[in-house]
Amino acid sequence: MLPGMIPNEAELTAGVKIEAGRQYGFFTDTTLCIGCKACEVACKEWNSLPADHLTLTGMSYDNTGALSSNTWRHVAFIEKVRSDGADGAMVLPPFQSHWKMMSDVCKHCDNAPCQEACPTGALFRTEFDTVVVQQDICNGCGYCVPACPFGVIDLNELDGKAHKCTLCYDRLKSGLEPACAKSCPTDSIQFGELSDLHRRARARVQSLHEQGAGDAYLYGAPGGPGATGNLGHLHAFFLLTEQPEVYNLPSAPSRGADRVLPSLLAGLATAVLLTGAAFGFLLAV
Amino acid sequence: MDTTTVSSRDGIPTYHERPAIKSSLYGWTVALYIFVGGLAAGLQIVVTAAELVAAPDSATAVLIGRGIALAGAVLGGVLLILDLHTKQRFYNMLRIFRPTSPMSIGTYALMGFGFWSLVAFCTQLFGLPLVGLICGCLAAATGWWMTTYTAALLSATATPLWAVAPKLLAVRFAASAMSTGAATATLIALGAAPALVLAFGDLAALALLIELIASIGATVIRRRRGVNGPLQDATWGPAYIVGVLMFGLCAPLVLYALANFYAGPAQAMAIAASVCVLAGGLLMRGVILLAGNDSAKRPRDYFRFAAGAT
Amino acid sequence: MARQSGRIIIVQEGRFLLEDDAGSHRLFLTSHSLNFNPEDLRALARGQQRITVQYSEPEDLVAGLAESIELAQPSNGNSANPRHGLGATLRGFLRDWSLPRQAVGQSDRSDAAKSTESHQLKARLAEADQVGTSICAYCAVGCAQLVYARNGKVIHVEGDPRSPINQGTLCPKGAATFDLLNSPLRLNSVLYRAPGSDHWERKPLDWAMDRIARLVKRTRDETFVQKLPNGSAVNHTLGIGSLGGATLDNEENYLIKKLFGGGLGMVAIENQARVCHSASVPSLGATYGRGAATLAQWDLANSDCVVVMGSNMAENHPIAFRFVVKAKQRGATVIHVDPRFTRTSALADIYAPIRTGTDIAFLGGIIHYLLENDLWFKDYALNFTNISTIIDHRFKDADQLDGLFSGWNEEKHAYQYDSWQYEGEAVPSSLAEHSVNTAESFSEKTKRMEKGPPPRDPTLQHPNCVYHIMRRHYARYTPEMVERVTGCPKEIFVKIAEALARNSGRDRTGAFCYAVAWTHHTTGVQIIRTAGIIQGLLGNTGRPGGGILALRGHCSIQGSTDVPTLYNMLPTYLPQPQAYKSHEAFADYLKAETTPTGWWHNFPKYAVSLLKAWYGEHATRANDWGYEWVPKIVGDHSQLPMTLAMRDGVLRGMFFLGQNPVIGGSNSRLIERGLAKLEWMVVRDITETETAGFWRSGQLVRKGELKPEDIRTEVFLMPGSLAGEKGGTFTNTHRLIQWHDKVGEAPGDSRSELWFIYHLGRRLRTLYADSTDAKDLPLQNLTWDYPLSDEKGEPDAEAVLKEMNGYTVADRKQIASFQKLKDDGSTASGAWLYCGIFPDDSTNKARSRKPDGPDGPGTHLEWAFAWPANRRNMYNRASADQEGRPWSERKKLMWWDEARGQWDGYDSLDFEPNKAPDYEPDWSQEPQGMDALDGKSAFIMIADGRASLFVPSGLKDGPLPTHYEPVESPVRNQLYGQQDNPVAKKWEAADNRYHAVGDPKFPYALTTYRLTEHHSGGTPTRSVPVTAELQPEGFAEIPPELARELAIENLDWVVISTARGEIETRALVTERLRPFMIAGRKLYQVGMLWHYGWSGYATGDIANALTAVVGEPNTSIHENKSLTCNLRKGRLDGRPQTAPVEHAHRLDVVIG
Repeated sequence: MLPGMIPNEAELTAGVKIEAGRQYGFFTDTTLCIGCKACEVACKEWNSLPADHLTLTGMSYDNTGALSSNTWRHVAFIEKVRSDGADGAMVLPPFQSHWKMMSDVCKHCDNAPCQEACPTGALFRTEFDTVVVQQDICNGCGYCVPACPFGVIDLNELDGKAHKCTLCYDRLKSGLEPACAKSCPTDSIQFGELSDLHRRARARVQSLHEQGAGDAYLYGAPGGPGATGNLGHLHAFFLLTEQPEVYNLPSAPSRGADRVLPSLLAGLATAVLLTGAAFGFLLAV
Repeated sequence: MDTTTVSSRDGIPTYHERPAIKSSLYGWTVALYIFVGGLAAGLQIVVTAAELVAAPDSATAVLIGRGIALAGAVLGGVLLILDLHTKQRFYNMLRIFRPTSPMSIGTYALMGFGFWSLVAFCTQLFGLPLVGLICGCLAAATGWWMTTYTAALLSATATPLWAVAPKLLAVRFAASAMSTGAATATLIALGAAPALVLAFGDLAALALLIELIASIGATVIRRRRGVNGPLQDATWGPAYIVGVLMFGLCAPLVLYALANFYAGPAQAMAIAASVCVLAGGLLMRGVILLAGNDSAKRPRDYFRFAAGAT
Repeated sequence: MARQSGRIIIVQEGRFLLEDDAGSHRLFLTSHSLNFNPEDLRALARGQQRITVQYSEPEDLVAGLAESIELAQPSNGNSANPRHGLGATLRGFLRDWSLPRQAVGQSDRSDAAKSTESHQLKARLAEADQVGTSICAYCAVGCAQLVYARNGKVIHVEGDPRSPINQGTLCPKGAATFDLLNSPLRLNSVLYRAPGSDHWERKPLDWAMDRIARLVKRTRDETFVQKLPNGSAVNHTLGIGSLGGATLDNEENYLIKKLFGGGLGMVAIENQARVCHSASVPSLGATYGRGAATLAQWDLANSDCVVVMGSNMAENHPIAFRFVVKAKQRGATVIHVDPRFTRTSALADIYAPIRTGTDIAFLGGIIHYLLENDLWFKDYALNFTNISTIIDHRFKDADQLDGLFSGWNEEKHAYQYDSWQYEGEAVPSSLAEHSVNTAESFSEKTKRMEKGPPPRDPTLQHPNCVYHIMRRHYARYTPEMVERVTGCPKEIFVKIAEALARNSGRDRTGAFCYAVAWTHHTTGVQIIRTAGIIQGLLGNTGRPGGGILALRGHCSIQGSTDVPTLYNMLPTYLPQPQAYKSHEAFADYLKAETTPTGWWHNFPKYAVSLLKAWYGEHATRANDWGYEWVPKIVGDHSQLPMTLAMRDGVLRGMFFLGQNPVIGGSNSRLIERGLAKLEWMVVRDITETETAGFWRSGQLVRKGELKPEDIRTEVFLMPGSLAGEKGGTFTNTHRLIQWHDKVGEAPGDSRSELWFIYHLGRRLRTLYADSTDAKDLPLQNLTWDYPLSDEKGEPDAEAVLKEMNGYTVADRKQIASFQKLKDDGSTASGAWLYCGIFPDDSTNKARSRKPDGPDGPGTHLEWAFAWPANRRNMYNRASADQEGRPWSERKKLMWWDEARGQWDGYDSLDFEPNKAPDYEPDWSQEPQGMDALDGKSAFIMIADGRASLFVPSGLKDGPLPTHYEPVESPVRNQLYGQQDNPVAKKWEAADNRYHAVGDPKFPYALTTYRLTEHHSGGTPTRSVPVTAELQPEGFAEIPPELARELAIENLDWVVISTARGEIETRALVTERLRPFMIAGRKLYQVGMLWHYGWSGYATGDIANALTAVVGEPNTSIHENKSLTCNLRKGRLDGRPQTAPVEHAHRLDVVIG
C-alpha cells in the first residue's frame, strides 16, 4: 500500500516535471503504434466517457470511426499490405509498415480556431498552453464545431456542451502524465515539453531515414505540413509515413480568424456604398 | 469491394470515405436569423437615410420601418437563443469579447443595433424627432455590422463552401441585407409614401445587381477550387440556380427595371419584385447554410480546399 | 423515465458515476436542461450525499442521461444544490465575468477567460485516501497497477510506474480495469435456476452455500469408488468435476486442489491451463527440464533477434511486445511467422506467411539449414546439450519408417520407448511423470546412470549420436520442401534462418516468443520442442536476451499449472498417483518417480512435505503420510474427456470457477448437451456467462433442440471477486509471483474463490463430521484452519501462501528454501517449488516492489519472487562457457569466481553455488542426485544435466519433432506417408465428426484467434463497454480473392460450416490474408474470432461451434488453430442480409 498518489508521477512515466507557464503537448510516432487502442480506453476511463455506436464499421479494425464528444482519442487503421504486389509484404521497412495505425487526437493548435471562435470564453488556453472547453461556461452555441480545421471538437446534443480532449488538464495540474500517453505500451504517444518533443521527433525522423524508412516526416511541427495557414505549430504533432489525407488530415489547414477582417471589410464596404446609393436615389425623388 | 484498404479515387486519398471535418449544426433557425437580422439592419439604414434627406411624406414609413427593424432585432435575439444547446446560459454570450470571433462581434452588434433601434423607435413615437434621428443613425451604423458579420462568421469556419470566398460571401450577405431592407421599405412605402417606392426599388435593384455579380464571381472561385459540388448536385442545385439566382435575383432585377418605364403596373411590379427579393433572400441564406453543411461532409472538397492552393 | 438512487463516486466534466445501494454502477451524462455544474456534482460526491437520479437511456449509448437530480437528504453544509434563481445565476455570472478582466489587460485567449472550475480543478487521484498495488486480472504478462480509493470506493486504476514489466503502461484491457470492476453487467447476488425453470431467482448466499454443500455430499456419496474391480485402491469420485483456475489466485488454486482432490477425492479437476499452454510443459520440460518460459519478458530488450511465431504478440501481449520494440530500437531484427498479417507483422522486419499447422516443417527446415551449413554454436551445444550422446542401436527414425519411429505398436496405437533410450541405459524423464514406459524395469536400467556418464562421442563420429540422427531426420526439410509444405517463399525462409544464425553465438543472442498458435495443435508439444532444439543448437538458452518465452493467456495460468488445478499433477509438478502405474503404495510411488541422478532425486522430500501440509498430524510414517487418501486417476480426465463425460452422464455435478467452456471449449454445442445432462452446476464469475445461461439462451435452446423445461440441471450463478477486491498472488508468464492488494469491496454478495472453497470445505466437514466411513477420512483429516481477515469471513490469503511455502512441523517456522525440505515428516510444504516466497513470518517476497534503478543489473531480483528460487533467467549456468567465463562481455550474466570458489553474477544462480565448472563426478562412488552431475550440467532437472535435443523419455509422439498435417487438413502430408500425428487423441462420434483429408465439402483452411481488444473467451471484455465498443461484433477475415469467387462484399453476412455445426458472422474482406499455392492448388484460409458469444455488449456467433474434440497425445490439448471448413455468402435460417444484428441478451440480466 502507498500513502497516496506518487508526487510528480510524470517524472517517472514521462521524464518531465509539469509546471504552469510551460508548453506541453503530444508527439505521436505512428511507426511505433501497434493499434492496440489502449489510448482510447485510458482516455475514456480517466474522463468517464461513455461507449457508443456498438456496431461493426468494416473499416479494417477501426470501429470508433472518428473523434467525437464521447471519443477523444481515435486510432485510425489503413491496410496497405499488398500495395506493393499481389504477394504482399514480407521484407519490411523498420517499425510500422503496410498496416498503418495512427492514434489521432485534438491538435491543441497554437492559434486554435475553436478557441478563437468561441464567443463565451468557454474555450481557452490553459497555463500549460493547451486548449480546453470549460464545462461550467459553455452554452452550446456550436460555433467551435465547424471552426475546427481537423474535425475534432464536437457538440454533444444530450448535454448541450462542446467536448474534446483536454490534454488531461486536471492530471497536468496534479503532476500526472495524460492518461493516453501514460498507458501507451510502445511509447508511440509521447507526452512532454514541446521544445523537447520537437527535438526528439526530428532525431527520430533522421534515424528512420538512416534505417531505410525514407517516407517518415513530421506533421504539425513548426514549418511542416499541418502547421500551416497561421495555425502555428500543433501541440499534438505526428510522425507519419503516408500523405496526410490517408490519415484523414488536411495537408494545409488554415486559421479561420484570418478570414474575418477581409470578409468584414468587404461587407461593410458594400453596405456603406449602398447606403450612399440610398441617399442618391432618395435625393432624386 | 474491399473497403478495408485506403480508398483513393481521382488522386486524393480519403480515410474510408469518412468526412475530414465536422458540419455545423446550423439549420433554418440560423438561416432565418441571418435573413431577419440583415433585413432589419438594411431597413433601418434606408429609413434613416430617407429621414436624413427629409424625403417627402416619409415620416410614417420611417416610423413603421423603425418598428419593423426593432421587431427584427428582437426576433433575431430570440432565434439565436433558441439555437443554443444550453439555452439557460445565453447570458454567457456577454461574458467576454473575442475580436477573433465573428459570433462575439455579432453579439455586441446585435445588442447595439437592438438598443439604438429601441431608443430610436420610442423617442420618435413620443415625439422627440431629433433624438430619434440621432439614435436612428447609431442604429443604422451598427446595422452596417449586422448586414455583414454573419458572412464573416461562416467564412471563418473550415467548411469549404463558406470559407473558399470570404469577401464575396460578405458582399452577397451585405447586398442581400440592403435589397431585402429596401424591398420591405418599398412595401411599406406603397401606402405611406408612394413617391418613395421607385427610389427604394432602384436601391434594391442596385443591391441585387451587386449580389448577382458577387454570386457569379463566387461560383467561379468555388469551381476553380473544386468545392462547388453541393451547389450543383441534385440536393441543392435546383434550389440554388432556379430559386436563388433566377427567382431571387434576376426576376426582381428585371421587374424593378421595368417598373421605371411602365408607370401603370409599377406598383404591382414593385410588389412582385419585393416579394421575390424577400423570398430569395431567405432561400439564399438557407441554401448556403445547408449546402455548406453538406460540403463539410465531402472529404475531397475539404482536402482540395485545404491543400494550400491559396 | 427510470430512477436510480445512490452516491456519486466520480465526477468528470458534467458526467458522473453513480453507485447504487446494491453496489452496481452506472455512468450518467447531465442533460442540457439540468443546470448542474461540475462543482455542484463534486460537492455531492464530497459530501457522499445519497441522491436520486431521474434518467433516460439514449439510443446507442452505454450511459444514462440524467434529467433531474434530487437530494435524498438535505444538503449538509457544502452548497450541493444546483444553482438556480436569478440571484445565484447573476452572482455566478459576475464571478466568472471576463470583460472587466479584459479591461485591465488580461488576454481573452487565456487568463481573462479562465473560469472558477478551471481554478479549482485537480486530478481525482489527489483525493485518494488509499492506494494499493494490484496486478492486472487479464493476461499473464503481469502488469502492476495502482488502485486508488476514496472513502473505501475505488475511484481509478492505472499502471504502476515502478513495475519493470509495464513501467506505468497498460494495454486496452488493463486500462479498462476500473470499468471491469464496475461493469454495469456485473453480478452482485446469487442467481439460482431450479430444474426445468425458465428464469433466474435471487437467493441468499448462505442458502446457496448450504444447498451446494448438500449436493456435493449427495453426489460424492453416490459415486465414490474405494477400490477398482482388480482390487487396487483409488479412493476417488468420477461424478463431480471442476473447471477453472487460471483466472484465480495461486492460494485459491491451492485450496481448490486440496479440498476437491485431497479432501473429496475428485480427479476431474481442470483449468484453462489445459486448453491454453499444457503443451508447453512437456515440450520445454523434456528439452530443458522445466516446462515454463526460460527468460523474463524485460530481458527481450537485450535480444538481437526476436522471432515471434505461433503468437500475435503485439495484439495479445502488447506490454510484453513493448520489450520487442525496445530491442528493435537497439537494432534487433524482429521476425513474425504467421498465417495472417497481423498488428505484430506490421512492426516486423521480416514477415513470413505460412499455412496454418505447418510450423514443424518451417522450424525443422531451420534445424536442417543450421546443421547442413554448420551454423550452430558448437562450444555451447557440445557442452550443454545431448547432441553428442549415443542413442540405442535399435533406434529407427521417421526418416526410415515414413513418419513413424521404432517401437510403434499398431494395436495399442502407441509407442514402446525402449529403442529411444541412451545406448545401454534408460533415462528418466524430467516431467511430472518420471517413470519410463519401457519393457525392462525402470529402476534397473536407470540405475546405470549412477555408474558413469551417458555414452557420448564429442567428435560426433558415431552414426547413432544425436547429431547424425538429427541430420538424417531433417535431411528432407530443405528450403524447397519448406516452401512446398508451408507456402512461405524459400528466399524469405532462408533470410530468417540466416538472421537467426547471424544473431546467435558468443556475442549475440536471439529469442523465440510463442503462444497458443503453437499449443493448439495435435502436434503442439513437438512444435515447441523444435524451437527448443534450435535454441539449444544456437546456444540461446540461459543467456541474456536468449531463450523461449511462452506467452500465456490468463493472469495466473502459469500459477494454475504450478499449483495445478489439473487432474494429472499434485502441487508444483509431482505426479498424481495413477491406478495403472506402479503407484499402489507410497513406496512404489517413490520408487517409480524418484530419479537416481539430477535434481528430481529429491522427489521424496517434496512428496512427504506435501502430504504433511495437507493432512498435518494425521499424516504419519505409519500410514505412509496419508498417501492412500490422495485419489488415483484411472486415465485421461482432462477437459476434452470431461466434456464427453458430461454428455455421457458420468459427471453429474460441475463447478465452473471463472471458466466459460461454452465459448472456450471445443465443439460448443456438444458441451451444451453435456451441461443439460448435469444434475447440478455451480458457475462462479463476474457476469452471466454463456455457460451459466445455456439453459435459457443457449445455441440449442434458440435452435429449439432443447427446451428449458426439459433441462433438469440445477444452476447456481455466484458472483466472484477480482484482483483489487481481494488479496493474493498471480504467477505471470515468466514465473514471476506477484501479490495484489485488497483495496475496494466487491459488489454485494460477491466473494473470492478463497472464501467459497474455504467455507464450502467447512460446511462439508461439518456434514461429514460424524462419519466413520473410511472414504471420508481424507476430508476429516484435511488441515483446514485458516485465520479469517474480515467480517465477511474472508480467509487470510497470506496464511495459505505460508503453507504453500512450507514450514517446520515441530515449531511451525517458515522455511527459506526448498533445499531445507525433508522426507522424514519434519517439514510441510504445499508447493515445494514456491518455497522461499515466504521465508519468514514477516516477509512476503511476492509483495516486494523494488525495481533495479536504471543503472542496476536489470534482473530486478527485488521485484516480487520468481520460481525456482527467484531465478529470472533459468539455466543461467549456460550464460558462462565450459570454463565458467561469460561467453562475452556483452552477454555477461553469471560466471565462476575462481578466487572465492563460487558462482557470481546478476541473477539468482540456477546451479550449485560451489560446484566448479571442471567438477567431475567420482563414478567409483556411484554418485546420486546432483553429485552425479558434472560442472557443465546447466540443466539440473534433467537426469544427465544436458538439454535434450533428442528426448528419450517423456513424450508419447517421438524423440524428435516431425511434421504431421493437422487432423483436419486440406492437403496430404508431403514429407511422409504418415498423414497426421499417429498418437493424436481422437474421440470421433456422431456429434463430433472429423473431416477427411482434402474433403471437397470443406475446401478451406480455418483458423481461430482473438483480438487485442478482447480477452480469451471475451467475458471480461464483452461485459465492459469501453472494450466492447472497440470490436463490437464477431466477424471472419476473408482474403479478397476468395471473397470475389464467392461474391462476398465487405460486411456481408456469411455462413461458415463444419461437420460439427454452422454459424453466421460478418465478413471482413482483407488483404492481410492471402492464398497459398500448396501441392499445385490455390489454398484459401479463413480466419474466425473465437471470443464472441451472445452475452455482453459485444456479441457474435461462437466459433467453437465449428471446432472438434480432438487432442494432442501428451496433454490432450485441442486443435483449434488448424481445421477445414466451408464458407458461403448468406445467413442461417434464410435471414436476409439486411436483417439487423441480434445483440441477444446484450443488457439482459433481468430476473424473472
